[in-house]
Parts: sequence; structure tokens; C-alpha cells
Amino acid sequence: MSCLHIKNLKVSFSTPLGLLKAVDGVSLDHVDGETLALVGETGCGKSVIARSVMGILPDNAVLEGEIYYEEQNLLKMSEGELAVIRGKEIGIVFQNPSLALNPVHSIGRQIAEPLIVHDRMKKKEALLRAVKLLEKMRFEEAEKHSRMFPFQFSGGMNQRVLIAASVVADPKLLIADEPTKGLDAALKARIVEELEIVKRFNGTSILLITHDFDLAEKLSDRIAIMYAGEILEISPLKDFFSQQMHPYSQALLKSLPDRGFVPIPGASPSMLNPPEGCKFHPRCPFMREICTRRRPSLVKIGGREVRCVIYT
Amino acid sequence: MRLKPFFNRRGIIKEKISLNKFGLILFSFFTLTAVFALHLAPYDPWERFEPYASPNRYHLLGTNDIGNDILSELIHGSRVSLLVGLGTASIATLLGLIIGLVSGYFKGIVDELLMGITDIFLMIPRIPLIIILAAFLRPSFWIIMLVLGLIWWTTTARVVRSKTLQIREMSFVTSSRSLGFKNSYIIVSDIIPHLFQVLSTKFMLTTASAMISEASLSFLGLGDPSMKSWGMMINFAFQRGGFINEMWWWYAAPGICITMCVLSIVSLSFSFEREEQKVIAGM
Repeated sequence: MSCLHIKNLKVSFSTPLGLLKAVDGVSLDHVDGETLALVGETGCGKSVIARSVMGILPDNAVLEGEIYYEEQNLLKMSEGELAVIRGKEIGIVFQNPSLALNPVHSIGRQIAEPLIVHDRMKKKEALLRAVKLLEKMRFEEAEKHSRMFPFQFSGGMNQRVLIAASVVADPKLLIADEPTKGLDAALKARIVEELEIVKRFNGTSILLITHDFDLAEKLSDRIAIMYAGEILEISPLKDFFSQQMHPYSQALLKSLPDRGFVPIPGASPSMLNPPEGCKFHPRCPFMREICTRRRPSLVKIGGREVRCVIYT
Repeated sequence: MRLKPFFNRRGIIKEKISLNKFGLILFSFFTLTAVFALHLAPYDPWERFEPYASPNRYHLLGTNDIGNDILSELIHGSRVSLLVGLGTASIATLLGLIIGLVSGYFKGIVDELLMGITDIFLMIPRIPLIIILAAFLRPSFWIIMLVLGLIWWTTTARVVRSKTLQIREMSFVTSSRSLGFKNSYIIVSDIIPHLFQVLSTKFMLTTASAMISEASLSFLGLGDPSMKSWGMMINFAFQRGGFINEMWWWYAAPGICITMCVLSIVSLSFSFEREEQKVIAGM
């Protein structure tokens, strides 16, 4: 059974320079309980997918396609209906945690808020639950810290608080949008640990959005590679790291410091007027004549899917 | 507003503390006087003694044309003046808050409509309107308070709207929305706490200007003659021979009171404003 099912999602933004296609026909099946990592370079539309699922895109966004959550189309829902699903069914962790927390309320209150609002819990009881959750997430001196304010915390601590606030109402799906952005290695390890606790104890499915292969390798079951608003490859984690299918995936892994440090030639394509045919062809070492004309479709090979003419 | 360059000079911290104290002490002095007027005033302000007395042992500020003790009048007058000021400011701030919040948070057609109405209200000349109303309605200080409050919410509404527009785009509001909180909850829990600084400053400035307006109206003879406000006292002093007979204590005392009280409120609100700027600069 799939809990999140995205079908041919297209998101564009009308800008003064023209229509910017941020997401161009993305289809995804997220199986219950699994962790799916969405990996891609900055600006390839990963966060836009997360925001379309939550329905919090800016006003100039144009959406097409369907997003099903347990047989309900999220894109056809009113703001009021969505409010019931947000937080209670689907939670999200944003990047820039220090900005995503309200500076005037205490940490404990912000974690307890979803319980007070969604489950109509008494304030005292909810605060107790918040402290318990912080303890479960191995937060030192949870009681004392819950009475502090976001500006007294470091970015990493705020990120952990944000994860706690997103999972306190026990959502079935958690979207983590670059949860380790701007954090050092030690803090990153804490975030990984925290997300693992969430996975293990609550059975939460996670949609992990990142550009960090380390994080994806540690947490995810499947990995999807995005480039310029498209998905180029979806593979189970083990298969992906033993052999990448798409030339972009291969190049991307080779560009990592501990795997060769070979940069990908050329620059990322403009989202305003992307290249014809395969969007990766100007930078692809295996480019053929057909790549400049025809946009390949996602092809299923075994348990994997790939968008490249080599495999057709 | 003329005081601002004086506050903004270098060496702010020293000035700030002294000004803050000055405003606070003076304002609490006036507030306490108003609250304990019954106990502080030596006589009932309506009690009659020898008229036109100069300041003496029994009447520290002398008596007026019908023999009322001026000091007692002054103490009881603080009640009326402060009440009109605070009452007007409460009505205006509440209205401004609601209209600005709704307009800034929901945007779109609601915003256009409410801001259009605000523009219309901004065009109404205030004092002339009140003069006309006072001429037609029975002069009562409740009506002055209500009318002042009902037309003075405009600037508050505009400030609140722009602040709300700014706050609603911040990440923690998006974050609250994605935690599934309703608009009403987000407004109360995320937006209003951030408006406190703006509101407190606006509230005080409205209080100060409402007090001045009340005094001016009373001085023009459009006030409530049954209430002894400071403006009314000056009016009587001018009409009933205080000025011609050089009985300066009769009109100077309420004049000084109005000035000091307004000054204390304005300096308090400025120190609030600077605190806010310090917080913004600190972040």
C-alpha cells in the first residue's frame, strides 16, 4: 500500500522573466513505512515537491497533476481540510530551523502545540508529553531545556526541536527538507539518530530531501535522483551504491570528495528555458544525437527506474 | 515627534535610562493621583469657599470664581483627562488591531476593502468633525471619547497591517501552517505577540494626543461642563477673569499638568520604541 502517491506533478512559477518550471512531471510512490531519499543539486525542485505536498507554495505557483495521500487528492482540498491533515497525518521539518521556530514562545510550548490544537490535550499534560519526547530523543536536561527559548539554542538543537514538534502528534509521514543543512558532523549524527528513533518507535514513513549522500545512505531504503525538475533514477539503496544507472547519478557520485572529486562539466541548466530533449545531454559523457531531440521516459528495469536512452 | 532627534543622538544609553525613569515616575505620579483622587484632594472640588482667593495656607492654589479649591479641582481633573486619553486609546487600538490584522493576514480583496475604508477615515478632519458633533450632540465626555476612538484607529490599522504582512511571510508562520494550525490560532499565537511593541507605542501616542484634543475641545468650550477636566479649568480661567486679573496659578497649573502628563507618556512610548529597535538591531 502506498501512503503518498504523486502522479505527474508539474509546478511552475510565473516570474517577470517568464514561466519557471520548477517541477516537470514527477511521479513518485512512497510505500508505507519506508524512507525515500530525494537527492539532487540545489535548485532542482526538491523542496518545491515538499511544499506542494503540504500546500504551502507561494501565491504565484501553478500546480498540475495529482498528489494522493491515502486515496485523497491533496491538491483538490480546501485550506480547512488540509489543516486537519497537516501536522496530524503529514509533518514537515524545514531547513533553517532557527527561523522556523517562533522566537516568543518557549521550546516546550512549541513542541506541545500540535497536541493542544489537534488532540485537544490540556496544556500541562501536553507539556509533560513534550518533555518526555525530548527525553526519548536523548535531549540532555529535557525538563530545563523545554523552558528555554529558540534564541538560546544552537541551530542543531533547534533542528532537533523542530523534528520533535513535527512528530509529537505522531504523523504517518514525515517530510524532512534538508534537515542537516548547515550543521557540523557531530550535530548531523544527532539528527540521524533522532530520525532513526522516529522511524523505529513510531513506524513513520520519511520523505528525506537532501543533497547529502551520506545522510541518504544512513537513513533511506530507496533513493531518487532529481535533476532540473525531473526524476532521473529511482533505485533501492544497496543497488544504487553498487551500480548507478543514469550517467548523471554516476557523475554526481564521482564528484564527491571521497569518491574521486571529479566535477561534472558545464553548469546546471536554466529552469526558465531548459535544454530540448534530455535535460542532462549538454553535460552528459554518453550523449548521442537522439538525446538532443527526444526526452526519454522513465523505464522500469528490475526494481529500478531510470530515464535514459541507453536503457531503451 | 519633534523630540525624536534629541533622543537619537549618540550616547543613547545614558539618555534612555534617564528618560525612561523620568517618564515612568511622572506617569505613575499622575496615575496614582487619579486613582487616589478622593483621598489626596484636600476638599470636594464642588465645595464653595471665598471666590478669587490667592494661594494661601488653606488653599494652596487659591480658589476660582465660584470659590472651588483649585488644587482639589486639579487632582480630580486628572481622572477625567486620563480617562478620556486611555479610553480613546483603548477603542482606537482595539479597532486598529482588528482591522489591520484581518487586512494584513488575509490580503486580497479583504485588504483592498479595509484599506480603502481606512483611507476614507484618514481624510476626515478630526477636530472640525468633533466640533460639529459637539454642537449637535449633548456635550458629554463619553461622546468625546467614543468619537475620538472611532476615528483615530486609522494609523494603528496601517501600522498593524504592514507589520502583519511582514510577519505572516516568516518561516515560523509557514511552519505553524504545516503543523496544521488554523488561521485563528496562528493569528493569536504567532502574530499578535509580535505586534505588542508596535501596539504599546501606538497606544501611548494615541493616549497623549487624545488628552491634548480633549483639552483643546474643552478650552474651546465644547467639553463637558459637568466634568472638571484640565482643559475645562483653563477654559473657565480664561472666561471668568483669571487671565485678566493675572491669577496665573488658576490657568498655569492645569496647563503644566497637561504638558507634563503628555510628555511623560510620549517619552515612555519613545523608550518602548527604542527597545524594539534595539531588539531588531540585535537580531
